[in-house]
Amino acid sequence: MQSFNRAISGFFNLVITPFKAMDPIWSLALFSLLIGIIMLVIFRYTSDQQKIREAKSRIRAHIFELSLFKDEIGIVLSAQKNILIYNLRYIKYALKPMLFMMIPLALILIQLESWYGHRPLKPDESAIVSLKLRDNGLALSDITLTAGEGITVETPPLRIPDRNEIDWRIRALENGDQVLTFNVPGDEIRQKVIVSERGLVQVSPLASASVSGFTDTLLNPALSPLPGDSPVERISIDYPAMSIEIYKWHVHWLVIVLVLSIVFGFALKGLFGVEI
Amino acid sequence: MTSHKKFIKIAKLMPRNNLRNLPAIFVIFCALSAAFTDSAYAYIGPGAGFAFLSSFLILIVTFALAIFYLLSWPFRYALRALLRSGRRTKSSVSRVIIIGLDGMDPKLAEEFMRKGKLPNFTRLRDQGTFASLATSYPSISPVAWSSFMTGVDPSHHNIFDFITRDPCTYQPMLTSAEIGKASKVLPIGKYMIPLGKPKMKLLRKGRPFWKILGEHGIWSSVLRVPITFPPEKFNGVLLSGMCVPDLKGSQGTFAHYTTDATKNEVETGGVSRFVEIQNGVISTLLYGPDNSLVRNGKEITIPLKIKIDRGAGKALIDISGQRFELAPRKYSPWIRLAFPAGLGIKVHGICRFYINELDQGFDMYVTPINIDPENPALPISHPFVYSIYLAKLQGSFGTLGLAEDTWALNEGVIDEDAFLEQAYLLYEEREKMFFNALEKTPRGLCACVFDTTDRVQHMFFRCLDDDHPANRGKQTAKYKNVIEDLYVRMDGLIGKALEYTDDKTVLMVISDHGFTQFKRGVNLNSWLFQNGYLKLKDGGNTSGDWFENVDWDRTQAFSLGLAGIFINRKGREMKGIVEEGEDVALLKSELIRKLTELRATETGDVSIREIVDTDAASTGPYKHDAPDLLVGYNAGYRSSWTCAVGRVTERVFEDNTKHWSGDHCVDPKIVPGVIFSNRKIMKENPGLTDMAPTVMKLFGVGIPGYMKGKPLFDEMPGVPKQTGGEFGDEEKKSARAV
Repeated sequence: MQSFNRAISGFFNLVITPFKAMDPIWSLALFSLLIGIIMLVIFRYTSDQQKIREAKSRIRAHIFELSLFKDEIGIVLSAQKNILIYNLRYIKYALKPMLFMMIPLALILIQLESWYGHRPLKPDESAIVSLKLRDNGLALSDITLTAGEGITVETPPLRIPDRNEIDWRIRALENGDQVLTFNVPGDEIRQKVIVSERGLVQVSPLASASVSGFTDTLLNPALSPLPGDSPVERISIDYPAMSIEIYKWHVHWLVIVLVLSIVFGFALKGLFGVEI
Repeated sequence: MTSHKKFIKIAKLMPRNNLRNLPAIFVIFCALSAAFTDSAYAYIGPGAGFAFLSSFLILIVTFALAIFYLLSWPFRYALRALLRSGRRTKSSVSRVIIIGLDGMDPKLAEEFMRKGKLPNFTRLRDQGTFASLATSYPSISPVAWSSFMTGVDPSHHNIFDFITRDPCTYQPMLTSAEIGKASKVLPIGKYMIPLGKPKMKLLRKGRPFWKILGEHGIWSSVLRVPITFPPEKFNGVLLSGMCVPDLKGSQGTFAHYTTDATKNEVETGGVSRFVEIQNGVISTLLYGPDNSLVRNGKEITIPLKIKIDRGAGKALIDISGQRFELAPRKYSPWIRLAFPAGLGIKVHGICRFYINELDQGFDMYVTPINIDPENPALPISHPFVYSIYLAKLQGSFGTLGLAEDTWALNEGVIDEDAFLEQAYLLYEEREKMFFNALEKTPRGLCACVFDTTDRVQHMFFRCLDDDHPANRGKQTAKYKNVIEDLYVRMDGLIGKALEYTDDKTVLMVISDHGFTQFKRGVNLNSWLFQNGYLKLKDGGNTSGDWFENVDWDRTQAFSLGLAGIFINRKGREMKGIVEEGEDVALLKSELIRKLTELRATETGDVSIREIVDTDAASTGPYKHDAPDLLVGYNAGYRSSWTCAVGRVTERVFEDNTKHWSGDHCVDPKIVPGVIFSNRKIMKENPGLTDMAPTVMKLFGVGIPGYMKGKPLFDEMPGVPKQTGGEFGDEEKKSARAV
């Protein structure tokens, strides 16, 4: 899983590298284009294009019927019924390619989330750091946190025994990869905290976790794995959510990808000979 | 909650809740996609995402439309009632169905009914009416159907033939429509950008009765009635029929690709192209319309690649971005073509492919490129979207006026079986359209003309006469029953149509003319030449097509098309020499006398039964532009193929050896049409011009005084007699002669 994640992350890193210093909208546009093309190709080869074409034609025919025979109420109602029927068929024909699209699209979205979902801390910005222990008998009071030079721990630990978790609030002081050191009996875990004011950086709110967490590894490409025998189950840093500004509007990256990939898909469907 | 809001909500949740919820969200989305289609698109990208999004929008918009139409119906009804141009009495029927079976012959119908082959026609006869229906003079489809729809004779509607001569050039021109380029163009480099629509003019005069019905609030669905191109506006839907051109602007130009150099000559109706197979592949071009977007534009072409797989017994055809397999002796479906004219503009057409030979060489026929009904280059329906609607509903369909490719069979490019298959494929498309129109016309007029009866009889009438010259070298026994089968098939159509009738429905099955044998052609131009009325230059004895080499300065009369003879009148024709008045009258009477005595050289038969002086026999305003003499040939005779195209040949009489072996361009009394109805008609000797007044009376609409015919039905049973003046008085008073 790690190798797979590394390969995909490597690819995304490669694609994003030229765009790191640019406004994220440009790299998102590129990914939207790629997503559009990939989804078109998948749709083309996994859907019954003929049936989709027929269903769409029938829907359009019955829409024309609404205006051509608008004075015949019976025909208008019948056309409405037929539009519904063929719409459902159309959706049925779109379900199969949708299922095929889910896996690659999920992987792509996970990667994009790791780049565009959260941003690093800025200097003088605070965040909550959480450490969750395994049920291995260790006491929460045995665990301490030490901050490196460019970062400070603002609060004493907040221990939540019910969840077997300790929270601290940290504050970033300087740009750079800062380090937090968790002192656990018998172990010392160093956790990188990224502090940066500009550029795209891959960050994961779930900073470290035990390798046994398959889902966490899959969903958090930037995750640092913890040894399997570590008493710590996970360490999370509450990085701020990233929002992309478009004409003073703060838009979530997923909205941009969704809209642009649909626009690109629609614009290129003729070129790829795909009936959507 | 709208799909958009739901999506935003979920998207906002994501960063906070971390991506560990993604699998759950996927599952939720799958479930939502089944239950709420609008919610699913967030995770399915441009393909299915767009599908779901558009489905949802379609549902919303169409639901709103339906509600709007329902709520606004009373207001629209009231508005229409206010805007109606004329009053009408109570309709005695709710629906009139007219099925036109072009060329259905009363004698053959009677014979097949006697043999018990036509139970539905027999039922109509027994229940209502079966009679001959007087046709027009001349008895040619465009003329006859124009009389049907306008209720007047040809001198009022101005259609005397398929073609007439341009009085300025003596060259042929279509009688039905004029299609020209846009009046203004913007020249940019090699391009000529049209700054308006191309000029299109329907040359038929008079008003079709469905237009008058529409003015009285009666809806009509009119399908494939000849001479309705370009379509006129009225209250209803219409799909144009005979005389709709193909994409090249002709009345049908097929393409033929062959590796046999000896079969590489086609005289009429198409173009044959020699092709070579290289490494199992033929690379050639399909020729489309002339490119009017560029100066002196040539035919637009698209590459046509045919990969031959003899082992599998099929060919792989690659054209216009489509690839399909085709086995020999099977028609492809309609293939949509896009001819690039430049500047991103494409001209759309459709055609079918048919491989005649794959084993020994290669031979393929391509139908004329029809205007694509889904993307029409010219308007072929009213409203414009009606053809698009039909194509979306039932798939592509042939739009060419003369869609059954009789010339391909005449020229031997396809055989009888291929022709029949093509004709019946087209018939099936029209049958679907017709029954759809019936369903969509619960009240009003539904009229549809089927051409199949005409085309099949034209091509197989020889099989009814063993002595027909066209039987030489052709199979006859195999096709002996083709015409009977045709009538049986039409009987099936009538049976299905009868299921749509009730007490308030009048069904009429009519034909525009009957049929007779066409064994010998008469070349009137040759006769005129031999008798000194037509002169050739340079002492020649023959001329080429379209009066090549005719000396107009010395020619008194000539023939073009199928209808008759034109006098080269001074002041009317560009180089006219016959003075109006006494000279014209004398010449006409001389020609009538001599030609009615004309006997076939070999058989001694009378070849012309009568000749009508158009001027004397007509009252309409367009009689002066018509052929001066209308020739009524005897059964078995017709204007010869060479005469119709303005050629002078050595012989006046020539055997007709073409597949086109039956005809109706004879004395109209020989070839009346037919009328069947589920009601008894009261009028004796019904005629085509009676149809318009009949339908108008059935709907309680006054009959314009200029209409020549009379209603066929008397009072309808169960309908109270109207009081307050003679039927149609108001209309007669206000009716304006054409």
